[in-house]
Amino acid sequence: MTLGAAAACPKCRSALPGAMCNTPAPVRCPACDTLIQVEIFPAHFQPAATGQSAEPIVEEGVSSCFYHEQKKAVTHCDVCGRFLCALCDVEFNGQHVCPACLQSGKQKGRLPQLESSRATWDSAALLISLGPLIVFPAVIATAPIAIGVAIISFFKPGSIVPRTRIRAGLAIVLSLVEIAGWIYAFFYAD
Amino acid sequence: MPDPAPKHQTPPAYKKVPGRGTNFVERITLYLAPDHLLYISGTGFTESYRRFYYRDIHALTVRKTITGLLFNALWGTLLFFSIIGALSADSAEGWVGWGIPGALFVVLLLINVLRGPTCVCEIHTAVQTRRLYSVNRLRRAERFLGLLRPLLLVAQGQIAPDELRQRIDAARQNAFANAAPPVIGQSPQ
Repeated sequence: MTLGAAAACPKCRSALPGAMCNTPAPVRCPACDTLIQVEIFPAHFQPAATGQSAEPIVEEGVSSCFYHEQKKAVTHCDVCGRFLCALCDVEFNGQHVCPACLQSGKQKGRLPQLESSRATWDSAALLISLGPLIVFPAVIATAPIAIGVAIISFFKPGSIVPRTRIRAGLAIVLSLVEIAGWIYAFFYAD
Repeated sequence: MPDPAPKHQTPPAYKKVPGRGTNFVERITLYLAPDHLLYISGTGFTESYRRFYYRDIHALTVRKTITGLLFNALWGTLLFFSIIGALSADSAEGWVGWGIPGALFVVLLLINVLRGPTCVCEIHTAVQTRRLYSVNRLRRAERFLGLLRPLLLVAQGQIAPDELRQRIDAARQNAFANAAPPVIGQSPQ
């Protein structure tokens, strides 16, 4: 095990003695005098996990992997039932899944745990309705767009964390006010 | 033929970590799930998610910065000039004209003082170090550590503080002992 960056001062990167880590209150780094707090957790001392290698088939009557027919199957996919070698076996949420099913689940949006980004339609609608207020004439074009985006947001999955639809509602109200302002300015103002 | 995709799974119950920060391009927020810390960076149109599983977190570091002091100096200076301007004004309009920005600077100064000293908080795993922009005040960092520490210890198991310190010292000594001496005139490989 080598000294990791985590056991160093976060500012000057000088190595810290154990007595300066996991202290109840911040301490001063002996090298740079910066007030620091370093919390090291047991995972820091665990060796890096190594990947598994699939065993080749050396005898007859042994099931082979669906994806690597020369490799010995060790389990089956809990979704599609295909035999999998140690290399293809992905453990996910307590299930054994093959890479194809995992990819398919990710693409279909069924596995929120694997999602790395989402479009936030409600925030976009609010931004589109608020942003062009700086240049008021632009809202004649952006207000209908904002209403459209806000309506779309009701049918699309929102953020991965729970939040209300208040942004979409605000965007619609604001855009309607902008449109009303334009109609007033166009037809009634002198 | 089975549907070649796992059944739809609901996202875990997330609990928001107080505070939000920005790196000038994105707005950063943190959420706690039963088994991971969710780092959300949003641009307003999209959100990107990074998950730090509790079992993988090696360390959390916090260091005090002078950003808060610099902002105090900025708002203080602007407030000073507002007061000078208001004192030198000889009309009600002048008083109001200098008073409004002065009041704004007082509020900004008070907010900055009350929020306490600023800091940089970083999370370390085996493969990355990431700054947590939403944990940008020392007081908030302490609360955040208080929230996260028990979750990490449940996921990783507990080591006695003395043993942990001994291991850190041993790792440090190993690193020094195994380090090759520098050679003059040769750039490190």
